Amino acid sequence: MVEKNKNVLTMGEDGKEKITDGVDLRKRELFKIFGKTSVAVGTLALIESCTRKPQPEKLLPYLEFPETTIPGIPYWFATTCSGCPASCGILVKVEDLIPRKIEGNPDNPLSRGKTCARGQAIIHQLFSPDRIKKPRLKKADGNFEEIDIQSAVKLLTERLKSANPEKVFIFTGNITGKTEKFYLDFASKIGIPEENIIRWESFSFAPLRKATKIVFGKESVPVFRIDKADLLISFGADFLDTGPSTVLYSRWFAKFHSVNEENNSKGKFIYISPRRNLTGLNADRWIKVKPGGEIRFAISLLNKLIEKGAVKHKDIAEKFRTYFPEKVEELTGVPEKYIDLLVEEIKNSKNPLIFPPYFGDENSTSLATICLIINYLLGAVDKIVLEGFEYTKLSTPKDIKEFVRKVREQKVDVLLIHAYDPVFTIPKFIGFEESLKLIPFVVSFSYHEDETSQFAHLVIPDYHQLEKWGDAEIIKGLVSFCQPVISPLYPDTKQTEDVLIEVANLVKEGAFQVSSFKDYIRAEYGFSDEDWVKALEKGGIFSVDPENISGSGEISLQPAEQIKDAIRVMNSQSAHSDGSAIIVYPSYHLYDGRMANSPWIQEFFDVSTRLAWRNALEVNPKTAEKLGLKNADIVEITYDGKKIELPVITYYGIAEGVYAISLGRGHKNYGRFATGRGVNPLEIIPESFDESGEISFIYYGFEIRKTGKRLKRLPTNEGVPRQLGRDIAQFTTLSILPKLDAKKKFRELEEIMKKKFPRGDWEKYGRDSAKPNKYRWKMVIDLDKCIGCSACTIACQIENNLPFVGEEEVIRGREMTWVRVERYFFTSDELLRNLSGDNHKGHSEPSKNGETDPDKVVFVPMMCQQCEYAPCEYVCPVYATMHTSDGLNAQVYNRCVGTRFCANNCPYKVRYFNWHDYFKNVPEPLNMAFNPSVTVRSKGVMEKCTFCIQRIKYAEHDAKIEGRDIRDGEVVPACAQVCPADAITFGNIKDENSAVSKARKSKRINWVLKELGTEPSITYLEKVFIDELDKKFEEKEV
Amino acid sequence: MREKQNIIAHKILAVFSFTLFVLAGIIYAADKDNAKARDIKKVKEKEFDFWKAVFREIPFPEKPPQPIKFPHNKHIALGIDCKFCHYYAEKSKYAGVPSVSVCLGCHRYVASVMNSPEVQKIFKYAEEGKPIPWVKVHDLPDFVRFTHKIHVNRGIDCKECHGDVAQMDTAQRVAPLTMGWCLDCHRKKNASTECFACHY
Repeated sequence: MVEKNKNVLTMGEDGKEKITDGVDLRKRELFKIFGKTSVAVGTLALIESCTRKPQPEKLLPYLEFPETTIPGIPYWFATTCSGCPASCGILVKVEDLIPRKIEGNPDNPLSRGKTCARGQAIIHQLFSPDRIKKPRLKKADGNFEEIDIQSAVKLLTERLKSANPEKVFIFTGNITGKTEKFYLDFASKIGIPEENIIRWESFSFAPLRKATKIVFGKESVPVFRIDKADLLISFGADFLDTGPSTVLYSRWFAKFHSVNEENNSKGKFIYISPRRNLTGLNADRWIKVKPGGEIRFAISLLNKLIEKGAVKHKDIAEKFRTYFPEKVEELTGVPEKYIDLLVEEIKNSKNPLIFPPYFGDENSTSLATICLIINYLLGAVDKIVLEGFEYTKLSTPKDIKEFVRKVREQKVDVLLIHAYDPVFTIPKFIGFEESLKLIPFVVSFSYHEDETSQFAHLVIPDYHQLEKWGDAEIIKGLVSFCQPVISPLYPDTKQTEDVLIEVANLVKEGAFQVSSFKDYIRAEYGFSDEDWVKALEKGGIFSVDPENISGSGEISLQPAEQIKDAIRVMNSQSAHSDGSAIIVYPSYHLYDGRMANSPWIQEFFDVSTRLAWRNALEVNPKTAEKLGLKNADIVEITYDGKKIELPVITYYGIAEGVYAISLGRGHKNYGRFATGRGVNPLEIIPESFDESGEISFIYYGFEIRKTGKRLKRLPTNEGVPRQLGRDIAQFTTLSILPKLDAKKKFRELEEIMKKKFPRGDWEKYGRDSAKPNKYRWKMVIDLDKCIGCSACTIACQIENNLPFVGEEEVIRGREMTWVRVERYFFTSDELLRNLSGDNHKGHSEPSKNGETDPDKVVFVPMMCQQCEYAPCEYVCPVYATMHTSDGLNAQVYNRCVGTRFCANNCPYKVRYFNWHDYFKNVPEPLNMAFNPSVTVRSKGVMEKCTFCIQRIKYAEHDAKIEGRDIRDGEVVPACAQVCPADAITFGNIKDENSAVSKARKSKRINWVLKELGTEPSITYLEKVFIDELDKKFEEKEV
Repeated sequence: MREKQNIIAHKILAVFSFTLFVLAGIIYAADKDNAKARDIKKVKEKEFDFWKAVFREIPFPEKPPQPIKFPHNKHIALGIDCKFCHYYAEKSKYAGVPSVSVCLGCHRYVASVMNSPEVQKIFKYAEEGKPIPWVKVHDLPDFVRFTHKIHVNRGIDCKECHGDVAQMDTAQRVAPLTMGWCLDCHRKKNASTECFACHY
């Protein structure tokens, strides 16, 4: 039985009042006594619950109708995302005045209607139960006292009035557009020097910025037009995970890397790094280079290119020839032949592009410099847009160290912090935390409980991004506005910029002509009323589209000698000849940790390790075997007396002898969901800076010790990372692709069906038998486009009210993800061995001895296949799951009695059971984000993907009222909507011209486990590998 | 011998528990019904039906007491259309309950009933800035996704589910709002009878 969720579905129309169910408790008590004395206790409980009559609910109308909204109808407001500094344009669905779901803004050229996983989850931050609701003042005994907003502003004003403005410092995030101008204005009006504004983001892209300065004379985080390339070589740049714009690069990557069936061609992507993150997992070849060896690899590559005459500017090229280190193979761990092969590939390709790293070890500036030189010499500068992302003014950790020195010299009196938790994100060796204790007055403007606010003397809580006004201009000319989509949840919070305006006006009369930040922005852009409304509706001013920009051919190189002087190769690796190193890397979904306060993000299975709720020490399985480590063993990592303890996870995407830990976890104070989850490696890392001032992300000289403790199991959703002969991850190769035939595949499927229904009347049982319908919903997933980012998972969770279950339940394997992205590894050898015939699959069992690590990866988004002949339907004793006439496999929650027969009979493992009332995990006010169009399931109910039936029904009703059919593209399920790579197509196959009908004509069409005769509604387009590339690499190795 | 005794003991226990369970069910349902009868004026006195109680044929009061004794009949007699107050019915899944401001929109100027104690209540709610806590008369379970929009736009008259409101003072439920009742109509009008039509 589905229990009523009062907080969600019976919400008064004002969206605030909640009524509780008034069950007559006395009677229940009586029954309990009866029950204890009788064996019929279960039966009694049943009859009790069946006869329990619900009490009438209240119906609370508005006091006054808001003119612009109608309850029950979703409205979309354009604003800007805060999941990372990339500032994508988003649309927020507001239903009954409450934000419910986030989608990308289709008008915004950066996001084009898509978001990443982080963008989906910022709605949880808005409703986080651990937001700071009132300003706080630290008392003499160190405890906080809550004060109201007016007295907080007054206190700040007094402090700023008496302080020497030269000694006032401001920490901000990456501020752009008119927001940047505002902070500069504020500083100048109070007399704070401009350099006292420190822009702190955990990832400053400083090495790349410095390298562009060295090579092209201009500091920039360039836009790399990877969509224009046909060969992409990345030196550890994770542009799909945490680059300057994940969504933009995901879209371009899919465009560059997906196969063109007509030309039988596909972009080649080669990834050079000791570890593979999401970006690396998408590579066609992964070149495992020793940590610290990347720079030597790059120098060798440059020299070989010049030597073999593969470069365009030969005269300039000659000047870079002197750099050829001996013993390349020994220093980089890569066979020298690989470099020859790379040179050959570059020579053969028309549009090669080398992607320099955003950060890395202490040589990363030099590495980026060499990458840019290679790009210049190859003539790839037309794909490098120096008018790039506006990250160029970010402070580096070295700048923070300078700030800490100033604090020690008592040059800082007041510090205003309006950035994401610097105490957490700044490495401990810098000593920022200690320095905060020395500053006489620290003000934190955090909207959420965090570590920094604990050190503050005054906390003035900010609005959340979705309650704010503002703007962002991440690429010059591409302005995205922020507007509030809900009135502030807590009356004693205030937008920081508004506080600053008020303070500035009090400190210096008439400092600002305006009284609010909204007016400031509007005045700065000089909008008329009409234009302002139009711009807000659209989401911004988009005078630049990244699709249309390209690097000018006139980019000139700085003098070669000057560049040569700038390249330095540090040798910290040689001190640790065994090459073992710890890599610290930013995690895709947590970014620098700011997303950790969303429980759904906590339960997000990491794109590379598949781990939720905690981080672990990643080890190659072979290294683990050598060291006697097993999954879930807890180890202790010591560096210089500092220790962290964490479990071990084996992972194929990491080179032998290398370890890795993700960033963004180990919060000491970031709300109930993040605090104490995992560890923060920034606490133990030693001091080491790159030339640009960025810290090194690779460390040597640590100690790993087994503690003897073990976790019961790791909270992961991965069983085995290999296919083990099953036919789930479907792939083909470029050489086989022309031989494939869609019609043949359909015939094969028909054969299977005929075998299953030998009497020949199989058509009668399934398709169209019940009731003819003009719709038949089908989905096509292009595995070649899918980059495995799992944004679909979280979009689905938010759209369909999926609960989070907690770490304990994940360990029991009870996670709830209607769409999960499965990831399968196999070896190049397996791929090549099965090339005979066109029906090769990862069937063959790999030989155990001398096997190379599997390096081929296929991501498979796995959701309910909506089988035409669904095995779950046959076994349900109560008809809770059955087929609808439009081809869906319906799951009726109120009919479900929880036998779980269906889940056991489902070959795809896509049915999820509510073992508990998981929705009760969701505290107030986090439950406000639930979708009122979908039932909240309670204990004992099976659930699964419904193809977003609520969206289908909504469109169907509209179409019926207007007397037409549903148009193609009118129904888009949440997963297809969010996919930044556009891998999912959904639609009606009875419409010949629909996108899905066209996609089903692809040669690569296939079905997962089709031999079972379920005839899934979801067709997968096989991933295409470039076997020619693999052959070359594998052959030469022998 | 021991086994036999055991079996007998089990049998006695089973019979005892079954009697207990039937008795309990009857007592419980009857008591609940009586309690309800005390405060609700029934349209039609019904015989208590155990099975109907079990299968929720009698969900909850058909005419619950409301905070304001709103006379639908008087308003309709004045020629006010349903959609004048419930004005989302055509556009949204909710029909909408009018806000206090809508009530005041007229009642501020209607001098004839200005002093009636019930009308005075509206002014009181408006003054206090509180919504009127109406009691839901037509309440579907939360696993039903009912939409007014499609029903009203496809020509279903309000009367078909809500009864002849013109004859009622405060709203009164006339339809049982059970699934069988929904399906009867869906079959008659050739609407979808698939589970996914309402349950998702």
